[in-house]
Amino acid sequence: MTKLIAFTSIAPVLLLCACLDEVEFDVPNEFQNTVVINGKIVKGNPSTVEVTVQNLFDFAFTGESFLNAQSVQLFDENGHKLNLPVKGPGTYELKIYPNSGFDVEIGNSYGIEVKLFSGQSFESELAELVGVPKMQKLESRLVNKEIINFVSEELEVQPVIEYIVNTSLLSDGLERTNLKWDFNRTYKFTDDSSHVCYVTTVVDADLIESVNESQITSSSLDDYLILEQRISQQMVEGQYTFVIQEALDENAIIFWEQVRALSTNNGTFYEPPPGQLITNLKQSNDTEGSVFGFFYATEHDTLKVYVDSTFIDLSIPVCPRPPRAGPPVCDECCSCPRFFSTIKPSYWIN
Amino acid sequence: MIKLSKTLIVFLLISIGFATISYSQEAQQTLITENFSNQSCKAILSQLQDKYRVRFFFKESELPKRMFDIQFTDQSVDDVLDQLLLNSSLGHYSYRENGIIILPVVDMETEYSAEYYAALDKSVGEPQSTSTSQTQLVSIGNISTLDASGSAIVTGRIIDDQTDEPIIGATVRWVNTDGADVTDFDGNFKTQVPSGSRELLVEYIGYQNLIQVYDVKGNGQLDLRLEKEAVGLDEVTITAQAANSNVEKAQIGVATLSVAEIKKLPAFMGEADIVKSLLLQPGVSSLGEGASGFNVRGGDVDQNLVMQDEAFFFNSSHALGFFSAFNADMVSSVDLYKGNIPSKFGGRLASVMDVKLKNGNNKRWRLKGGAGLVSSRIGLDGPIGDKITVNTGFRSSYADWVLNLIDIPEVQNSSAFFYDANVRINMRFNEKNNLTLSGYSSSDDFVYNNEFGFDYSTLIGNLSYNTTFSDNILNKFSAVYSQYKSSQSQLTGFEGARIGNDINYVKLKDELSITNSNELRIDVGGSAIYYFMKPGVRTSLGDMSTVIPKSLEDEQGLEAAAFANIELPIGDALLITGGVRLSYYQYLGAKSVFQYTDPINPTLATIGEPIQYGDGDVIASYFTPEPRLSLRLKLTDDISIKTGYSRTAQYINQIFNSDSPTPSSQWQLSTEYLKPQTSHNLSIGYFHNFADNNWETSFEVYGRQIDQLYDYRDFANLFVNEHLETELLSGEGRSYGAELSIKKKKGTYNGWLSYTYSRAERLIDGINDGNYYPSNFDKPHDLSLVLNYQPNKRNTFTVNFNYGTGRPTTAPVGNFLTKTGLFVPIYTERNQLRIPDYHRIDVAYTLGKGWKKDKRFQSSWTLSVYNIYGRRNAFSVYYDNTGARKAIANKLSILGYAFPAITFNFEII
Repeated sequence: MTKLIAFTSIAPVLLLCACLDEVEFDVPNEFQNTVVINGKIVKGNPSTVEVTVQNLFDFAFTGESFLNAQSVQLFDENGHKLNLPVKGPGTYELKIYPNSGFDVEIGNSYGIEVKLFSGQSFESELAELVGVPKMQKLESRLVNKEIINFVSEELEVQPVIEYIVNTSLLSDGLERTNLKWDFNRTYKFTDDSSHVCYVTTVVDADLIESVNESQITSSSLDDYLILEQRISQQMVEGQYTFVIQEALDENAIIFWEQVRALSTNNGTFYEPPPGQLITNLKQSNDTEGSVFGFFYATEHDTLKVYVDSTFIDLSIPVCPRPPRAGPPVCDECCSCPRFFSTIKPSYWIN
Repeated sequence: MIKLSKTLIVFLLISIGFATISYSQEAQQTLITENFSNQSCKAILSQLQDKYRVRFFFKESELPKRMFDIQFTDQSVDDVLDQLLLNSSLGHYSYRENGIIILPVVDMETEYSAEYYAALDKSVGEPQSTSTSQTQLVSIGNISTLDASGSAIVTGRIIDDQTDEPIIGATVRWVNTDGADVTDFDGNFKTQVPSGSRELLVEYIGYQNLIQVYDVKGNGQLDLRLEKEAVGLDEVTITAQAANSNVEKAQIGVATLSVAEIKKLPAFMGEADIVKSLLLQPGVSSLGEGASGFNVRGGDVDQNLVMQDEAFFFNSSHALGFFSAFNADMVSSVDLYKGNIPSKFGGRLASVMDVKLKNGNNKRWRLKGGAGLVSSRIGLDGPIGDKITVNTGFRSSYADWVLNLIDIPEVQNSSAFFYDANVRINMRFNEKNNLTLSGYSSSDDFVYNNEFGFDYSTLIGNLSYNTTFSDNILNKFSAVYSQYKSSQSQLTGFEGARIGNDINYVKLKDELSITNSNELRIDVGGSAIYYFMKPGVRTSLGDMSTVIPKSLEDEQGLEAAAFANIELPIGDALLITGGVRLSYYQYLGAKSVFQYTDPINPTLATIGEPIQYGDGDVIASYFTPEPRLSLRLKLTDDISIKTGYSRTAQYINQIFNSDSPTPSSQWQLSTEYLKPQTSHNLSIGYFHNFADNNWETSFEVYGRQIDQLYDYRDFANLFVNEHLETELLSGEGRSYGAELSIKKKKGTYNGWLSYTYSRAERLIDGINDGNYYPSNFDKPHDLSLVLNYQPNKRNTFTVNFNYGTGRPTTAPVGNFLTKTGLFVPIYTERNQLRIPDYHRIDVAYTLGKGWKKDKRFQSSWTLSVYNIYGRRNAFSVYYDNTGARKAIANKLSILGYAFPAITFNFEII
């Protein structure tokens, strides 16, 4: 859309009289203080439930957008309920261990109920827990590719790391399922105080990679490219990349495909027209009330792969930082406790 | 003919006998000695008239058709006529000294009025003439054709003095009588006028008034030529806006505008634009600067049938709508049917814009043209021999030259070019046979910063052959070939690709028009259109492109129609125009067609294996009867009420992937799953003229129910999709509104005001929870005000003001954040918001041609300022999610400042 707009400005560009102004809409009442609730239950040992509650925020994000709820509950198809404790602002998480009295099983259905201090109450539809097929292989490989240099905006041949998987699309019931992947990484660096730090982040916050089983005919993905990662100095001391595969039901895959369409639209003519995100939540005490977000039930399968820095031609470490240019973590990585740790993960091999 | 009682007949015979005895003695006494060999009755009568002192009054069509070998020796006139009229139904009687009237016997039994005899008195003894000299008193007809009331039927044709083109909509009025008419599409008129000396006034915008006194003696034919006004920007002329045509015509919802008026309006970049001028009419709107096409009564852009002669366009715009595809210098007439569409037109739901080109000058060659800031035009027209005229026109932009002067890389790497060329050759073999060959070619090419662009082109060839079988029967045959190619390109990056959508069609049409003396008109005919399309071809562009080339199967369709229309006056007050169009459409192979377990609601989830159809196989067919009806009830000469109903069907649609159409929005034939769009259209209006038709007012209300239409699903994948039906949802639509128009046509101060209230809504299961939602073109309020100050014919100042409600849009109203840190925008439901209201004021000054129309070089100037107070009207609103991870809603104003322009027009003869 952006480029369409830009294109339509070509005639005014001729005339040097096109204008681009911010415009303020009168946001319809139904969007004033609209609540967005997202969550999922993941079968595992233990199973986990995570829910976030936030206000739909205007185009300038502030941390105040997250909402603290009066209560957040998980329920199943039999009416069993569990309260979710607060994990952080607007964030609620719960671990459910086996034999806790609340069964988390493939084929069962689950939902959430959220009550706010304002009196608003929201409830999701029941979502069936979908079992995830296991990945047979995760590999990384270094390849040279023509990519755009963000600085020079010119095409350059650069090495990138490609991640490929082999996985079945068949879950336990031999039913084809939709897949979505999340990508995390943990990399190591040594700060200026000689502390060895391990940092865990998402690989690319903007990336949503998924496969809709209805659009492919095979029952498996072989050597399927799921991620390309540019190399960086953060890989110098080594990096583990985690691929988290989850299964989605037919509604959840639509939700995530729509999220991807909305968030990655970069203005080419070929992109689909935008629309309103689907939701499986509703406001229980006001059927006309507006709410966005999605709750789904899934299972994860995670594989990790070590990216060996020895085959990456990198000579500049994260630290020491150059004068006035490096990250503050070089002073003391432990000063940034949220994603940084000096504890060596158990899986780290060297 | 008046039916008389026996008493009256006896009285009549006595009267005639008395008159004969009283006044015909001299004629009776004339003795004739002549010898005629192989001569017609008319020729014999003419020779006798020339040689002897006798005058015959007759209808040539009633005379015996055989040839005579006959000899007269000292025979009386009565004897001569008896022999000539032997075995015919004609009789004769003498009138006064030297007049003899030849009539069917039954006519002779008719009672004649005092006016009849007054006319007869005057005609006897005067030379019979039909001189066209305007310096002499011209006589029309002869007494033998006068009806009993003493009135004559005067028919005729009004044509352009230079081009021989019929002038449509000219007012023909006998001063101080009730006799008046408006010329039809062929320039024909028909009036009834009391005999005697009568003043005829013929008026038409852009032409000099023709005022001529005639001595009306009986029925006759007048073929008149109108000369254009010397002062006027226009040499062409357009439209049918006769003095009282808005009251007289049966058709409701016809928008007309003269090119003379168009050229006085302030124009963007100084280029007179037919489409933009129509936007000032009630019920006609667009999305603003930069939007392709126009919208009629809330209809979509693709629901307008845009015709140039018999060819129709798939894109009526250049430069994304900044210019229209029509070169005003080439245009003869424009009519926009926005209400009831005549049955000879079909294939679109909302309107028909019928543009007629004009022939070249038949007397002399002429070079004409104009130069503006970013485009120019030139044309040449003239005669080749006596029977052939040629008219050519060429327009082109030179925006690239301007772009290169601007020291902004994005601009220098951009280009905007278009051209169009017209040629029209008219061959008049004789009075009854006329052949016209015309061609049209245009191309648009736009590139923005070498990143992306559009290009599209139109090629049209048109042959039409008109045959006049008799005065009352006219046949028009036409054959058209057209080719429209469009594409949009992403020039760089991994998504570098070009997507093309091409349409070819061949159209054949034949139309027969029959009229009779009772003003009854019947039009019958048929047409067939064969479509051949390439619905989608994708090719990769650039070294970085990872796009996989793809091509959809060709598509074919056949749209045939038979139509009939009758225009029937019932008395003076009621005029009925009714007809029917029977349209039949076939979607043809060869093609593979996907099957669905639920074919009513095809989705990817229900898709199955395709069925292969062979070449020419009928995949789907649709038949739609389309009745059309208009009624006009004239309450007084200045007031009428009209109503109209039409059923319309559309077999080819444009699929938009955004809330603003682009030139490359994909055209798609109706298929097995995408059924034709159909609608019911109803309108009713009140028309009232004042001050001798100088003030025109009208108020119309209308409604349209669309039984079948399509809109895309959210997040639809529309490009090069072999199962496009899975991305579209079908439903219904409705539009309704009211239009008010007030117009002052003449005077130092003139102009018009148009106000429209309209709504256009859709109801589609799967969009906005199945509730009605506004269509992309729903603009409830639309106001246009045009004021002209014309102190004399050469100077004109014009101001116009436009206001319109902002159009609906679907826009993001907020964000949420995922756990991984992804910002996700939330959009409203479809078209839930509106962009800010649109308004602007333009001014223009026109210095017309000089007073001397015979000067070899003539020029005119137009100075204009578009958007004089620099209103930053939003063309579109978009969401910028780049940069600092926050989104901002922006509006793009295509013209954000006042824009002055100057245009120079010239003509060399």
